[in-house]
Amino acid sequence: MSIKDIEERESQLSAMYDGELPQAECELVARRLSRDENLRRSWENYALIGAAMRSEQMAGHRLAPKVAAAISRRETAESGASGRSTRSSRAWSRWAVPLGSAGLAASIAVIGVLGMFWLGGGASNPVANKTETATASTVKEIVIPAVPQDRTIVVASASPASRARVADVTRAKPAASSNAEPESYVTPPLREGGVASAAPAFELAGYVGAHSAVSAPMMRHSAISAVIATPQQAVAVVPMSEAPR
Amino acid sequence: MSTPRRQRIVQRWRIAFVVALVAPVAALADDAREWLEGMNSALAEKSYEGTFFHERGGVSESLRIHHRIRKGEVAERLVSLDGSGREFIRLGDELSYVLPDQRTILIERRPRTGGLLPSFPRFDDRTARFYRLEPVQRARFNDRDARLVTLVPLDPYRYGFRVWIDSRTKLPLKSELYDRRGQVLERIAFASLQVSRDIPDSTFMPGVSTEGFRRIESDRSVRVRTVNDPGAIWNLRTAPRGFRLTQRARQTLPGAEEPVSHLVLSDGLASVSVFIGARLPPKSAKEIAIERQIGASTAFSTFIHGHHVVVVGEVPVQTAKLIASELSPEEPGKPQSPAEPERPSEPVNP
Repeated sequence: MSIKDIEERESQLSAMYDGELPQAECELVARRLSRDENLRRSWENYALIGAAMRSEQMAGHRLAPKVAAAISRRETAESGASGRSTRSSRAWSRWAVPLGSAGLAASIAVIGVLGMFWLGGGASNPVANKTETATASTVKEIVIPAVPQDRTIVVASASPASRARVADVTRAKPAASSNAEPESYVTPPLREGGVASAAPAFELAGYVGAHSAVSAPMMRHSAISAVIATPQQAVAVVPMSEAPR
Repeated sequence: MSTPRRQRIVQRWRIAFVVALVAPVAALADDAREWLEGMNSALAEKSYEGTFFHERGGVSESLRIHHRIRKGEVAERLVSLDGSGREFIRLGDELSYVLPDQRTILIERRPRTGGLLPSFPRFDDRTARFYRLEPVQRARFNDRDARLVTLVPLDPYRYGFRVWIDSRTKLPLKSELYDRRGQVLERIAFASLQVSRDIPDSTFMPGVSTEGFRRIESDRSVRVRTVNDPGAIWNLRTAPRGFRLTQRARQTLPGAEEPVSHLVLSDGLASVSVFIGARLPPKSAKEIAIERQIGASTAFSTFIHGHHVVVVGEVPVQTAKLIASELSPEEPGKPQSPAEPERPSEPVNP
């Protein structure tokens, strides 16, 4: 693949992420995503970086409409084309594409959840009211109704302490029977080396505080002011124990 | 008159001419440096309180600051007066963020032995090679007599700086950080500022009740290592021009299980902190680099040899990236390779 092709695909991903890609092209990209592992990784990275840079409270909201619709259509089309499954050696290949699509949707949802924690859930943070000294938090049964629009995706017991890879999530089997579209999607238990590791721990408040102690007196109030400024305008403050790693 | 004599006279006139040209410039530069040093001393030694506006990207936020020096110990409290009501409190070695919007307190305790606090960047002759000091201008700000000191960056590795220094107290009334194109990135302007003889302890308590808040604390037991400690095994192959490694330590951040290595670089004005976390399990770290702006500071996060690395400093992002790219682990016990062309300074934490 030439550099120009790569640039073009990156540009398409970017436009798709921002919801600015025409519907037809969205479908093309969705097809590519469903069969191209590298591109899918690119997308995951892009989604994470985009979420971080834009300080979105929940990346999933932005991803939902066109992407979900495109993936959903793709799933339906592929599912119909693959026909009724038998126990042949080609069973996996028939599963691969729809699973890839569902997995992608799920991984986007997971990224959304983690993004929310990573970027600070504010008042909606489900662990915000705990009073004990935190070492690890557990997210239980968070339901994300956004992707795809007509279904529910459940992220089960996602604990930052136990990690799973995005790739593992994308390979998980759906809960529904093989000849029907899954009504819901449940991720497997998160395992060592997980999604979280895709998003580096980036607990800015701690780093900024530590840096302020060594910066020049006239510089040190700058970053701290930004950290404690109104959350919508500033960086999120997420303790390390809750930040995805 | 003999020829040698004439030559000597001509030579002396030449010297006098050069001195006449250069001396005022040198005096102006010294003047600017004196004002900067005076400001740094005032910030480090005086107790003061005030309200200021922090502007960045067209967004302005008002904050209040209380800063006290008592028996050499710093107490400081910054409070956001808009929206969240978040606070930052520094009491000696303890830093706290009070986050009413998250019902959380983050507490970082810096180890007492050989901590990093006593050493601040200092604008010296070396620093003057990387910034041009403009002639000091007399100015007026907020009905106060002030001096405007301007530092122009001479390369892309650092930002420029303008500061309006109160002529009486030497405290900064207003400051601007700007990039190489002259675009102002951040502005801090005091609406009110007064020097206080002493500020009561009660001022440094959180303004909101923190009952029921989560407390997330760091581990104080971590031993601080000095620049010569062979246990601190990360080093820089090279540093951006003008920056040198000045300090090195290990510390634990709030909520973290493992301590991080903390390297500090400075050009005498801007500082950069490099935090290197523990090595993560193989394949658990995706090679994702993320950059963020926090006020005028840059934060750059990446992975190097499986370690999570965060670079924070008042520098352009390319400087932060360059520093990250030059990090390398060394074998324990091996003598440090100098961060050429800027050699590390003498040990700062003997």
